[in-house]
Amino acid sequence: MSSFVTEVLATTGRLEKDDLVKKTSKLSKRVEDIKGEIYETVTQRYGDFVPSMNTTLDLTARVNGLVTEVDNLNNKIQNEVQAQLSTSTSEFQDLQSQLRRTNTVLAVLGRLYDIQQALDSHHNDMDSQQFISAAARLTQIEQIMEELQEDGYCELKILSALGIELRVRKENLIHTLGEAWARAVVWNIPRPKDLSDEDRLLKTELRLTTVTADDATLPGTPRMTTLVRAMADMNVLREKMKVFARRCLEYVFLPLVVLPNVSPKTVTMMQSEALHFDKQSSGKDVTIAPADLYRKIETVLQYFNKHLLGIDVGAPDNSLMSMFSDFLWEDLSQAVIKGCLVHSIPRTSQELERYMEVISATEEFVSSLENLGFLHGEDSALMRYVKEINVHFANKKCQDILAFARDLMTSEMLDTVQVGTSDDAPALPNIRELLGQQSSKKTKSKQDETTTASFEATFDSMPELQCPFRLPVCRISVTVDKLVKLAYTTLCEACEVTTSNPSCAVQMFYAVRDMLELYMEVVPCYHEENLKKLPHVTAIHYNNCFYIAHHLLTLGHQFLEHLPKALVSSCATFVDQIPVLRELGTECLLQQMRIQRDQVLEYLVGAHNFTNMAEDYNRGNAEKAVKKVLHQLTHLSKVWQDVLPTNIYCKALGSLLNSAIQDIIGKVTALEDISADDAAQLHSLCGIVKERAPLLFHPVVKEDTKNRKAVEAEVQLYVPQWVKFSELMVMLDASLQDIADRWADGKGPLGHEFTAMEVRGLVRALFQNTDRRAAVLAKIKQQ
Amino acid sequence: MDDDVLTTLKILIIGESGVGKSSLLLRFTDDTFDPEIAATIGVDFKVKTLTVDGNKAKLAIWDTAGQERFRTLTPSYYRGAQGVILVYDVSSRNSFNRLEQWLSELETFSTKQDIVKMLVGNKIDKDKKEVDRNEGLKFARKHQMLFIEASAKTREGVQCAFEELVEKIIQTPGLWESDSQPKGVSLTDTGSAAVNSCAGYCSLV
Repeated sequence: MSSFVTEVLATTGRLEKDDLVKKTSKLSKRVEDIKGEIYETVTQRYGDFVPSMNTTLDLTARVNGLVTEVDNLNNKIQNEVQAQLSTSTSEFQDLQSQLRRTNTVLAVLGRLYDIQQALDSHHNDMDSQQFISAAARLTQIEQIMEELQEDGYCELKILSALGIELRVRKENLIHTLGEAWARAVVWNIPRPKDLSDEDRLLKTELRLTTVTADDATLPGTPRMTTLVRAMADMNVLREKMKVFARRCLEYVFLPLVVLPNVSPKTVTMMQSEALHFDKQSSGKDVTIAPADLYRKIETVLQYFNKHLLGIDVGAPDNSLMSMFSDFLWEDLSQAVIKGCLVHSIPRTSQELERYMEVISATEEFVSSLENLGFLHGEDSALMRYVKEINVHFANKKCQDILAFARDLMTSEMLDTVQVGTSDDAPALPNIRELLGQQSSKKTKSKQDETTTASFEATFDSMPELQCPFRLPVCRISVTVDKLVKLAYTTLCEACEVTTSNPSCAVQMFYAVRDMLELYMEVVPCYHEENLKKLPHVTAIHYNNCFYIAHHLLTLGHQFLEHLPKALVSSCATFVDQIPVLRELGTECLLQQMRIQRDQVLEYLVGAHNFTNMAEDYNRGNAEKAVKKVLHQLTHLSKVWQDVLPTNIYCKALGSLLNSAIQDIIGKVTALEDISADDAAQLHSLCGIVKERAPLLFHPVVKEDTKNRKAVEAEVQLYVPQWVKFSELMVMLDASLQDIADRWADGKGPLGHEFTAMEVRGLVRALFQNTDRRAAVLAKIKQQ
Repeated sequence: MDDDVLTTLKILIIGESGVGKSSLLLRFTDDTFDPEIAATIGVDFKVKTLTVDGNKAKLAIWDTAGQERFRTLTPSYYRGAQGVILVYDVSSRNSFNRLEQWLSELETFSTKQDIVKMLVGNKIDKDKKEVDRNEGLKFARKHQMLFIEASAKTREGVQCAFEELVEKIIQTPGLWESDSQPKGVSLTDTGSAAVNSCAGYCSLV
């Protein structure tokens, strides 16, 4: 091993020695190279560079000088040239505005020139009556002036001057047009004074000039066209048409509506067409038939259309005719409705069916007006009116019914007719007959008839046993009879129109109800005085009320199946009015009874309590009083007997008589001392009553039982105090024993009618104070 | 006078029209007979004193109208009646058939509970007889009535009918005494009346 390392080490030393020699030779060669290089470089720099640098510095100095010079020049140019530039610009602008102004002035002047031209030609047109172009010129001027105004030249003096001129020209034209119109449309209207409407219309004339003689410039052109168009251009046409339409309405159409005998006629004359009015001699009708009126109005409108209103004004949607219609139609249709159609409304349902003619005539009329251009298919008031004919018919019908009913109510009640007898049934309208055509089941109605007939027969066969539902025999006013019949016929008519016109039927039904309401209000008020003063009238009124109420019981039901459904399902009845009517009648009669009773009692005051009857004077007075009462009752019996139903008559008189005798009984039993003579007089006085009072009921009693006692029995039925009165008479004429017997411990008739106190009082008054009287008095005591 | 009268009795005669009510009364009070007697109007009244078993009774007899039309007046007459004579006509079945109605009216209007009823079959003098005596008797028993057949024309049974009725009334306690003796003190009665009624009561005992 050691050998290797020694070997390595030995080689290393020898290697380093070889190497250093080589390196030193290399380095010396290198230094020689660098010495040559540095020499070269130094020579290059200092020999070549310095002279060029000197030159460059010199050049730099010269360039700086030149820059300064250029700057100076630049500044100079800036200051001087710019100032000059702005001056020249403003100069140019001045020139430009000057040019513009001049141009504007030129334009204005041009327009003014136009105006002048227009004015000139307008003048010429006016002279030559070329109204259309004259109007056009004026319109043109106006337009220009408006433009000028808009452009802001309003302060120009010439403009205001021109404005005035324009206005003058305009007015002038309008005036001229107006004059021409007046010459073309000539009204001849007579002075209104001292002439009837008819004469006035007959003398009224309207003349429309077709061509004027001096219209030479444009031959063949109808003058009216020029006129109308010019007027349209001048915006005065509407105003003129309005006036014209008013006049037509006032002088032509309204008189035509009012005067049925006058008809229009057109006459062709030299260059004019005239409208005259002729009188037709025939017919005295107060109102005109719609078809006639339509024909007349159409004639007049045709005439207008042909000669005036047919002129084309150049605006299709605003023809002369429609303008005319605007001003006329509303008033005209109203006038036609009020003056003619209202009167043509039918009164009966038969006439209603024929009314179709009027409706179709109206339709034709309206359509021909549309052809004329007078109407434009809009809903016209006329058509609306005739189509609502059912409503108008119903209104008129109900109005008529109520008016008629009111007449009946306010007329005299004293004319009477007897009702309640079996033979008055046919007097009422036979409903079945009236509705017979409508009744679908005829067999059924026939059956009804036979049933009714058999019922009637049953009632008639039992005169004694009065049917409780039958109206008792009595008398009622003729007017009320008519009123009830009117109610029946109205309801029958309502039934007839049920299918064709249900609302009318309903209205008519309610008209009947209203009629009855009216009756309840009007009669007590209108006849108030008579109802209070005259018992006769009171009795009739009482019957009237009950008669109506009697019919109302069935009035609704009878017609029920023939009336409109709406009515049936609500309440088609009159039953609610029955109590009111009965109350009305009853209250009235009761009031009269009170008046009569007070009167009777007033008479009895004159008897001075029946004291000292033995004295002639007293007896006279008492007798007079009693006779007055009897007279009063007899009078009542006379006026009530035939009028009131028998039972009511008996009740009424019975209760009055009862009041009278009650008063007498009360006064006699109150007497403290009755001498024998007094008693005799009292007895004979009561005898008068007993004799005559039953006569009040005399007519009531049937022939076969007409004896005194039977009549008196009747009196007993209706006069509760009658038996007591008879007992009083017995006592006035009786002995003490008789009285005791009739008292019979309160079990006799005296006890039945009088109290013990009353009988004792009478015994004390009638008899002197004796033992016997005391004994009798002791027996008379209340059981 | 009639101080010795025990009491006054109210007797009512009712029945169909034409059965002879008025004739019965006339026969009883006046002992007469009128074949043509008129129909009664409203009501008729008679007083008669009758002695039964030594008791004197005063009868206030009301003869009512049988006719339908005056019937409205009759109900008031029932008031206070102690006896009633219900009459039918033996020669008229109809009058007998109607008795039920009369009884029902009587029951409705009479004010006394135990009013004594007497059924009288009148007109036995007639040959034609439609109602047998036994039928009448049966009806009377059924309704607790006295019964007699009579004839106003021949006088047969008339007096007897009234006497029987009165006897029965007097025998019925509480039916008539209360009339003469007021129960309690009535303020309206005068002193003398009170004394009198007391006397009446004593005489009875």
